[in-house]
Amino acid sequence: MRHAFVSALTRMRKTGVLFLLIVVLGGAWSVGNTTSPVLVDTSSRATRRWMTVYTNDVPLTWDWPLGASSVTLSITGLSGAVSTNFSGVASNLLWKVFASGVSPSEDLYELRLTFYTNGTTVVESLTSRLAVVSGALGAISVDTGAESRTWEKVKGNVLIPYDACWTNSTADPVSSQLVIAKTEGATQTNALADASGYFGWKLVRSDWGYGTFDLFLTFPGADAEWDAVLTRLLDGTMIRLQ
Amino acid sequence: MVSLVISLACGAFAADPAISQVTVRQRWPWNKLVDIDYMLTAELGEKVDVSLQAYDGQTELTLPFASLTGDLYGVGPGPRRIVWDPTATSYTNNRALTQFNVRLTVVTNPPLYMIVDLTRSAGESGQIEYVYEEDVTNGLWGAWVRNPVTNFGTVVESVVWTGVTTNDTYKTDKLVLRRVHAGTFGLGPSAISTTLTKDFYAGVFELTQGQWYRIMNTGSLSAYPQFAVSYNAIRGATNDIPAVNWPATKYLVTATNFVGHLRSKTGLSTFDLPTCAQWEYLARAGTTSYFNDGASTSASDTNILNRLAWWSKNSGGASHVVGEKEPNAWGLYDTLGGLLEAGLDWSGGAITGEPDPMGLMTGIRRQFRGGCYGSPGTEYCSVTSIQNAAAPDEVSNYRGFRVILLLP
Repeated sequence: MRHAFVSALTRMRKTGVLFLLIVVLGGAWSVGNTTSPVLVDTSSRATRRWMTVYTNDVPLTWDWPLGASSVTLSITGLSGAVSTNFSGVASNLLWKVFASGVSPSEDLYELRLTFYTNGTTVVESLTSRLAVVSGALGAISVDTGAESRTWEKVKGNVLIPYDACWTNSTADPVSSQLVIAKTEGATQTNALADASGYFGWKLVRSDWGYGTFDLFLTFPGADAEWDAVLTRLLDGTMIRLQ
Repeated sequence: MVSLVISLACGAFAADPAISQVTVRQRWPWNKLVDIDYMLTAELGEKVDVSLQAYDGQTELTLPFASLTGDLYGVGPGPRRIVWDPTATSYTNNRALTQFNVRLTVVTNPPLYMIVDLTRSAGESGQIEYVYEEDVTNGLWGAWVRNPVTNFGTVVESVVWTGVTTNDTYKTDKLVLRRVHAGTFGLGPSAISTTLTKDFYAGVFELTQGQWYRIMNTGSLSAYPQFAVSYNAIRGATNDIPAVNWPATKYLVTATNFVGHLRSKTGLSTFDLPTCAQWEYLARAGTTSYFNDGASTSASDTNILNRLAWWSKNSGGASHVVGEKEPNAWGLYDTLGGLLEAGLDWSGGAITGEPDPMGLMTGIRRQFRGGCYGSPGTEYCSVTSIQNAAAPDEVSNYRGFRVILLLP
């Protein structure tokens, strides 16, 4: 099992996405030299699955690298960040992703584990992205109408899915690109290191402001392109002046 | 990621297939399709069906067959995805489902047969009925046999519902289809290893005049196979608007032709003719013999063919009611005789071993397979015979067809 984690980490590094080593508390080590065969997904397109949170309780566990004496765990979401320092023998944390008893709001978290020798020298740093997706935890809203009036509206921070598997292209892209262009405003090009995942678009307390946004999603190596137009209205009303 | 580790660890010891990590999400803002992702834990090589129940809150939703694609049938272990198109569900159009959720269940014993009642409308209660192996072997459906065919000494595992032949309802008002699992077989006279990656259902009989009547409202309620129908009349022509031209236009058919009517009448949008590879696979039914009996080695095995098919030497020069000869190992009747059966493919082309072969992109004549009541020699009735082809608009009393229902 331990070997499988290392393999998985190696694979993820190869695809440009570093994942935090997260190990089930209590472990799953078997007795003897070999383990029972398990399924290890090696597809570069399965990132969405790897990054999705399926439970409120996420047990984080880490191994201490040689020479490290302290570690800082920072968790940064679209709405804020927390940071916790550990020293000594601590090697796990049960992270409550959202408050119990409430419907979780979608968010994308970057977890960073930074090991230090003496508080200043970095020994190793590991990162992982974890997405809270409503549809992994309960019911969701599905817009079925062909001419929905709410489809193109956006209010706050949102997760935007991307997945090369949506296309029938014969290419095998390993990365993606999401361009967000505000009409008569800024354009942001986001190079995404994987072919499948969620992009956290932080709108609240950002410089994006209000207006109309054109989104373009492409997968290098494939000819498919997805586009969308979204509108963020100030307080939900639009006053047209002539 | 953590949950994945948990399920993988459990999967190492689990005996029964299981589904976990179900995620539902609409592809907002790109389009309205809904990805239903899940992880299937099962033994390597094991294939299962996945049953999907959908709800809006506590209210169960009926999702039309045509609105679902992806990993529903014959699914192996690993990360899997079902795609639901909510815009294909007319009853939900122009409103939002505010509490959409799904329940996925592993079906380890998929149905053996599917029965479509052609007298009922799409979605009507009782329109589609499934027949399970245990129901057949418990005698709930009448006569049946187990492992009727041995392929050169090796049993071809199968349960065949032979009782389907004794009630003309199954040859006229209803369409009985046998589940055919994806697999690899030797295609063509050289038995080039070829894989079909998708499960499908195959009509146990050639399409009858009665079934044609139920769909097209012309003809009579007869259990004889429908004949004198051109390829174009079955699924559409290259000069239709829009043009219908397998494989260039894939599964597009003309709405007013037979397959188009069959799809709209039943609500099952993946009905079609089989490709020639699918036809040969379903005709072989796990055998490798000259005919599909599992023992014949050459065209000289006339007595064997007489058991299996109506051809010129035993038909009296006339067509016969379907299902009167012995079925193949998968319970499919008249594959090698009765009427020639239309395949999707253009005639010609080489067998390359590519998976799911679709034939030539262009051609002059469409390929027909199997033999017919007028076949002058046994060699015309072999499983691999490709001696009959016809222009797409040509009709003949010797030509008919068998439908299949593709599974997504």
